Amino acid sequence: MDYNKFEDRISDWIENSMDIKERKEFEKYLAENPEHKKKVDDVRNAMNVMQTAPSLKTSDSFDKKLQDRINALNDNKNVSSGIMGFSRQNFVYLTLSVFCIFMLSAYLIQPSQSNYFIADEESVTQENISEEEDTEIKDVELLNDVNGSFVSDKD
Amino acid sequence: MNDKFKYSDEKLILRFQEGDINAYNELVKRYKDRLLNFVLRYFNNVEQAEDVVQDTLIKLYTHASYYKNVAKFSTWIFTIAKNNALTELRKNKRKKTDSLWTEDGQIIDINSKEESLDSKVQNEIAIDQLNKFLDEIPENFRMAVVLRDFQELSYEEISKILEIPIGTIKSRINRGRIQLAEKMKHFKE
Repeated sequence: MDYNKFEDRISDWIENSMDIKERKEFEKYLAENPEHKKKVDDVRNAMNVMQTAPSLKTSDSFDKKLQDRINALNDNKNVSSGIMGFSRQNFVYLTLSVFCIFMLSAYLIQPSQSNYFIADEESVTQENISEEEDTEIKDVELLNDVNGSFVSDKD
Repeated sequence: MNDKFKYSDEKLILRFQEGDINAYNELVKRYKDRLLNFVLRYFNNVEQAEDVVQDTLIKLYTHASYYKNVAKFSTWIFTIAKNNALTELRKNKRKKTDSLWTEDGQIIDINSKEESLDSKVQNEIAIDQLNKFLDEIPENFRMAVVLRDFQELSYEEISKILEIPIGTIKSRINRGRIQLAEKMKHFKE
């Protein structure tokens, strides 16, 4: 066994995870190189320090914060399990909105029943009548200017 | 003593999957400090690490059904914690982990540190110095050593959590310990 192999096997030897043959080989190396035993002791000491070190604790407010987050999650879960994934309130708003849109569409799509179109038709009719009257008056005036006798004949 | 203390982690998660909230609370109690000690190695402050632990425990709450009883619960929860920590690190665009300790060697926001130190650590090397040493060794060595010597997980579990072959894990842990021992030796001298 060379030094590199010795170093690679230190943890295995300390943790007793070698087979008998490897262990004997490792221990033989240690017996032949007592100066390296110190390295094994140092590693063992480092392990002991870590294994006996006190663990850090979470803060006093940790549990409360966690509980608050869980409660918030549960609240959201309850809200989302209303009607078709909506809360009851939002579902009512949505239904009313859809109803209003439907009514407005129905109102706009039927022009014959719409006051807007009726009013529009009336104004068009009135405009046509007044235009016809104007045309007749203009024709008479024109005939008077051109040939007064024609008017007299007519009368 | 309550009956739930008799249950293994795996039994508790199965009970929680069936709707037993007490089982969840027991898992939180068992793992919150362990996860904090693990996640802290990625961050330089306790608050950030606690947030990651909270996210991990929330994920346990919301995704408990994802756990299949083929792996150890500890492997599963530490893997979630590691992934959350790495996600958080990416968010912060942090490329290097910093020390948990302040410049003058004082620990940041740790409860009852002095008392624990006196009662538990039978070593002349102060715990804060140990953490400084840990931060000085390469991160891939550090995480493997922390999972092995602080969290006392098996090589197989560590291999699954870090997604690295078991032989590499063994080598990293051994190298990490040797580097740590070297630093401690110099400190003592």
